[in-house]
Amino acid sequence: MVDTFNPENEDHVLDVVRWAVSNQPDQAKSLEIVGQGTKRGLGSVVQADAVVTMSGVSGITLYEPEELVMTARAGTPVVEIQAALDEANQMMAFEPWLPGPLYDQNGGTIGGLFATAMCGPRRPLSGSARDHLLGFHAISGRGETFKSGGRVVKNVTGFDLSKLMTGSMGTLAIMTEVTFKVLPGPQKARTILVLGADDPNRVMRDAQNSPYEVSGVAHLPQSMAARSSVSYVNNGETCVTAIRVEGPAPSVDVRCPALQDLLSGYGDIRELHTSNTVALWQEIRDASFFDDTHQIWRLSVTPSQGITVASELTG
Amino acid sequence: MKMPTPKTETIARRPEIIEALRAIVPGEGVVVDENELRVYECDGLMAYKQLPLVVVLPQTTAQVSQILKKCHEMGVNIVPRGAGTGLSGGALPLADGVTVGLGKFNKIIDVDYENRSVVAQPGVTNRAITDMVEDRGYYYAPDPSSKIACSIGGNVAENAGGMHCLKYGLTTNNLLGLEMVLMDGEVIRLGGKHMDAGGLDLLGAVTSSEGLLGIITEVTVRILKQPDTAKSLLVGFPDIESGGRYVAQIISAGIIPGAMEMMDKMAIGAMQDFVDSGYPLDVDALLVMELDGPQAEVDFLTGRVREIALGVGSTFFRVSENEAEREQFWKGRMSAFPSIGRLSPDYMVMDGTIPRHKLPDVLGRIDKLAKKYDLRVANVFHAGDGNLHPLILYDANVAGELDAAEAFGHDILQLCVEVGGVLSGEHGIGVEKRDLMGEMFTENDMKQQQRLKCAFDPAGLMNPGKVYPTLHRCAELGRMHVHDGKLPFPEIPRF
Repeated sequence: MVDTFNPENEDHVLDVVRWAVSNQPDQAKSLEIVGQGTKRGLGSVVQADAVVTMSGVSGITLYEPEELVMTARAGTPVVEIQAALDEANQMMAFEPWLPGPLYDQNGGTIGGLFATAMCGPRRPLSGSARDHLLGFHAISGRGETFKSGGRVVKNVTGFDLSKLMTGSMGTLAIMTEVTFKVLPGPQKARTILVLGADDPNRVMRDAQNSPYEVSGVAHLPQSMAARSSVSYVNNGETCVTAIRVEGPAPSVDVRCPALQDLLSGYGDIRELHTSNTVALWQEIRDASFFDDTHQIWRLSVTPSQGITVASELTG
Repeated sequence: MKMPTPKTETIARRPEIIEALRAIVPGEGVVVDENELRVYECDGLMAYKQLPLVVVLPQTTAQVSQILKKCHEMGVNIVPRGAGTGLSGGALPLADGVTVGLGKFNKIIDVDYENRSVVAQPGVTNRAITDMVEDRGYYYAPDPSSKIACSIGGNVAENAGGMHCLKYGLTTNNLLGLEMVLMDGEVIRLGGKHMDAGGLDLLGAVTSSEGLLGIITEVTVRILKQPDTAKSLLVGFPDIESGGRYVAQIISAGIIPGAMEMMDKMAIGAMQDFVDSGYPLDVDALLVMELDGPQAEVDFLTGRVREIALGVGSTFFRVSENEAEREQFWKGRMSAFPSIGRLSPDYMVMDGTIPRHKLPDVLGRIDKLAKKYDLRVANVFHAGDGNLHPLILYDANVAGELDAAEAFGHDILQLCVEVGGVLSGEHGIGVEKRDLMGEMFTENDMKQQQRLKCAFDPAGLMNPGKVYPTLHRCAELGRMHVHDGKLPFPEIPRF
C-alpha cells in the first residue's frame, strides 16, 4: 500500500520530505510528486514508496497584468490560471500543451506544467516554458526550503535554477510556488493553409525566414489533416501546411496577403479566420489527432530536418 | 571586498605551471611578463585590480581541455576571460590563478540561414554576428551597449541583455547550443540547432553561471529576420510618475515595443550635451521608444502610443521621420555612460531590477539617499523590463567619496530587493555584488545553488571568489545533518 500525502501548504510539504529522509539512508522513502496526475502518461511509470499530491497547495498569490507577471502555488489548476489570464486578455505565450483532449482529463496544475516543460506551436517565436519561469520556491530532497530567481524578467542574480527545474519531471525538488511571465494575447489571428505542397519544408522555411513574424508553422500529412475538426483542413484530401499570423488587426491584414503571395507557388492557398485558427492550433498544440491508445513521441530536431525525420520514421 | 587568500604553494610552483602550459600552448600563447600581464589585471570593473599568476591564450578546444586537465591535476585555480568588458569583475584575476583568455577563438564557424542559426567561437564579438548576416536581412537580437567589443562567450557567461530584451529576450532566450570544457578537461556539448532537448536543461543552467562551471568553446545562437520597419519615438513627461504611468498603460494596452528606455533630467541633459540627439531639456523624464515590425503595424502602434501619451499628460512627442533620425534619437542613450562620465571624474553603475510600478517610489528614495550621501546620481532605466541603472557620480581623489559611493550603491540595491526586485538585471554578480547576495538569498538558497557548482567543479577551482560570498566545500554541502542516526522527524505526518 503506497502512502499518499495531501499537503495543504508549504510547511506540510516540508514535513513530508523530512519524514521521507528521516530514516537511515538505506531506508529513506522515495516520493512521487504529482499535481492532478494528468501527465502521468508521459515517460515511464514511477514506482515510489509514497505519493505527494500537490493539488491542495493551490491559489494565485500575485497577478499584476501591467507588470506581465503571475505567481501561483504549484497545485493551482491551469484552468484557474487560464481564466484569470483570459479576463485580462493575456496568455502564457509559450502556449502550453494541455493533456485534456489526449487523455480525456482536465488541464492539470501549474506546477506540473512547468515540471514537464510543456510548450506549443508558438515555441519558435515566443520560447518554451523554460523561457517564462522567472522564479520558484521549493523543498529540496534534503528537507530544506529554498528559492531561486525572482518576479522580474531581467535577472542574473545567482545561478538560473529555474531553467533546471523546468522539465525536471519532479526529480530535483518539489516546487511549491512558481512565478512566471505572461504576455498580452494577440488581437487578431489568421492561418494561411497551403494544400498539397510537394515540398512542405520549403513552405515552412520561407514562411519562417520572411519578415512577417509567423507565430506557428505546422505540417499535417493527409491522414492527420483528415482528423481535424476544421473543414478547410479536413476536406482537402491532401496534406496541409499551416502558417499562423497573429498581432494587431492592421498588421495581420497586411502580413496575410504578403504571405499568400510568397507561398502561392507551393500549392492551393486558403485562409482561416479567428475561430477556425483557434480550433486548428489547439488541435496541433494538444496532439488531439491522437487518442490514448497511441504511443506518442515528441521529437525536437533541427528545423530543416523535420520532414525528413518524420518520413524516415513512417517508412 | 576580500578575495580568497592565495595559495602560496601554487604561487611557488609558478615556473612549473608555466612550463606545463607551454607544453600545451606553444609560442606566445603563454603570457608571463609583468608588463604584458598588466593588460589582464581587471575587466570592465576597474575598481579592483590583480595581476594574474599567468595568462594562457589557447586556440583550440583540445588545448583548453588539456589546460584544464593539467590545472585540475595540479590544483590550480582558473579564471575564464572573454573580451574583459564585464562590469561586475567576473574576470578579475587571481594571484594564484591561471587566466584563460578566449580572444583567439575569434571565428564564425557556420552560418545556417535555412535553420536561422550561427555557430561562433566564444571570442567573436556580439556585433560581429549581426555584421555577418546583415546583408541577408538577419540579425542577432541581444544588444548590450558594449556589443562592438564584448564577446559572445562572455554574453553567455553573464546572460547579457540590452535594449531589446522585453520583446526579444536575453542571451538565454536566443541561445541554442554550447560546447564547453569542464574543470577536469572533459568536453561536453549541450543543445544544438534544435530548440529543446530531453533531460535537464543544462544549457539554461550554464548560461549566466559567470565562469564558475566551465569554459565555453563554441556557441550556437538563433538569428532573426530584421523587421520591415523600425521607428524611434521620443516621449517627454513633466515628472517621473507620468512616465511610469505611460509605460504601464502601453503594456496594459497589449503593446510590447521593441525597446523602451527612460532617463531622468540629469541624464537627459548630460546626453544631449554630449551628442545632439534631439532630446528636449524642459522635461523631467524622457522615454526613447522603438516600434518595429511591418510598416502597417508600426503606423498603427504609433497612433496608439500617441493617444496614450496625450492621456497621461506627456509634454513632448516626436516620431523619427527617417533612418538617420531614428539613429539620432538613440545616439544619446547609447552613449549614456561616456556622457554622464563627463560630469564627474568617477562614476559607479548600478544594475538592479525592480517591478516597474515601483519606479517613482524607488527614484524618489534614491534622490533622498543622494542627499544623505551628498553625491549626485543620474538614472537611466530599461523601462520595459524594470532594469534600473543609477550612475553614482564621485571623485576617488576626494577622501571618503569612494566609500560613500559604495555605501550609496549598497543602499540602492537593498532598496531594489526590498521592493521585490533583484541585485542584478544584466551585469552579473561577479565580485562587485558578491557580498550582497545575502540581501536576496538565504543561506539555504545559496547552498542549493552551490550544489550545482559542485556537480560541475567539485574541486572548486573554476573562478573561485566570484558570485558567492562563502565558499563551501562540496563535501560539506553534500552532508546531511543526521543526529543519533535519525533526522528529527520520525513520525509520518498525514494531511
